[in-house]
Amino acid sequence: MSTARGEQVRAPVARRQARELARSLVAAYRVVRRVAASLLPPVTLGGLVLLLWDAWVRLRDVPIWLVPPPGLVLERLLERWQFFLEQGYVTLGEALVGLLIGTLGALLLAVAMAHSRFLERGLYPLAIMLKVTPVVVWAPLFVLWFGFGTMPKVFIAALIAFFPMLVNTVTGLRAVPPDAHAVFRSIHASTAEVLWRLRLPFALPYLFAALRVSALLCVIGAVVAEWSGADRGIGHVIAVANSNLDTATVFAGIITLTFIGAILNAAILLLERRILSWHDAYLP
Amino acid sequence: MTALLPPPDPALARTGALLAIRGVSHAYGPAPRSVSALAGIDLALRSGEFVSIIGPTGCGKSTLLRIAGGLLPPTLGAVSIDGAAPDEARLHKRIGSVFQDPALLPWLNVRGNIELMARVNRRHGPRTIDTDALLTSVGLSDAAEMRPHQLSGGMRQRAALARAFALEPALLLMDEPFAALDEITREAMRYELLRIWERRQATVLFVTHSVREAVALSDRVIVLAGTPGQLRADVPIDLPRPRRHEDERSLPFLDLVDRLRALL
Repeated sequence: MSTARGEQVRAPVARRQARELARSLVAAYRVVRRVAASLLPPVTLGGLVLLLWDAWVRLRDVPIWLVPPPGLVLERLLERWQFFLEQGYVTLGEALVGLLIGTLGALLLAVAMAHSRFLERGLYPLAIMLKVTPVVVWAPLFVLWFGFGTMPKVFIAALIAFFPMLVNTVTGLRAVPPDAHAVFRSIHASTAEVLWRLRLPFALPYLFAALRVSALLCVIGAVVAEWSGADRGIGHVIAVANSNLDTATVFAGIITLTFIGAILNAAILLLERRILSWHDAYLP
Repeated sequence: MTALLPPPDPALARTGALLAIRGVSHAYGPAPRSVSALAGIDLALRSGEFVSIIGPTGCGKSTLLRIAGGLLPPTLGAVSIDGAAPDEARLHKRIGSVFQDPALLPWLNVRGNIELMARVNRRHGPRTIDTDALLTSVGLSDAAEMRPHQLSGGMRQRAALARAFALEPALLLMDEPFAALDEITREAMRYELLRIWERRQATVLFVTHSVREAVALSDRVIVLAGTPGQLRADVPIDLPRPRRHEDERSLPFLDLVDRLRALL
């Protein structure tokens, strides 16, 4: 009797466990499928380009110092992976600190400009001057002023991140729906309350759009600054390899930069999806 | 803080009206090329009165509402709310407002949107809000934790209504609040608004395009017309209260609608 009852109790438990297992298998399959779906296009296209590249180099007998075959680049990358990881880490660090400084500076200035037409008119020409002057012009100047250390790299990265953040944030801070603003005004909200509870949240989508541009620009800034005078970082590695006609290392450096860019892009997308869960773009 | 505000017009303060608008004219833009929107409006609302403004597009209805709430300073004339300047009424959070856009903050749920009214300018007005009672009165007690995007258009406007009543305002300003809703929801919302208004005792200034809506809701209907907008008629609506949806088929109701249509 008791065993029969025990089996009766156990049977649904087993069935529930089986159902849970099936459910988690389905969930795992979905995740794998989603990852595969997002990796498939770049892997396919990238593979095709590599094949064509390899065929061209072989068939036309292109010298190695002019264009290395992809196999050699991969070999260089795998053989010295620790080196590229370390140098990439240096560049990523400079780019990230630069992004942080550039973003904070742009935010502060954007808040001031969104509240004062005088400051907006006065500061825009300055911002345009900073933006229209190519980074290659600033980089040697910054090296001259701040030396060969990390400082000039961080500053160049900050400089290049600054403009897109500034322009978008000023627009975003003014993008408050007029009726929401009217509700706040009707209860005498202070300028700070309107800024904190209304303007900044409504500016976040604009801010993230700019962040995605700026994050990649920062890497360019750091690399250009390293090119102009450094003893480490991917920019330095590429500059040295370039002067030695070591094109395989140049391409290995480019691939390292691609990884840095992809990681930054993915991190920002992830953050955006978290913070902007309320925004139309992320609603189910 | 209060000392910085302009003193109320003593003549207005004496009228005893909750909202007094005296000789208000408004023009948009700088002087030589300005566009006149309102000319010489005089209007007084008794405490607890429900008054609607109707009129064709561009006659200055919304401008008048914004001037009444102190959101827009008039070019000429003065406004007083309960004997004080509109800025002081705003400072003490005596004004509630509902616009065509519910203007709920998308990152807050319904409860957060309503309780925000106590958090902003927190030195004035009620410190706490009985959100549950408010939500029950607008039929949203199950939606307290929902975000605006999870609500239908009618539910969003109900939430905006609850938010407007949250601070127990003396004056409620409504600018075509139901204009974006479908016909059925719109008609239901009228009577829901009336039930809340009867319980919570606010003076209401209601702007609408719909003559039926104005008659169904109001104690008085003001007709604005012309450019710049001028007061064309002030029609008392002496239909018994509480009003029901069925009354919209009654003869006196239809008579009033016809009379007002003729004035437009």
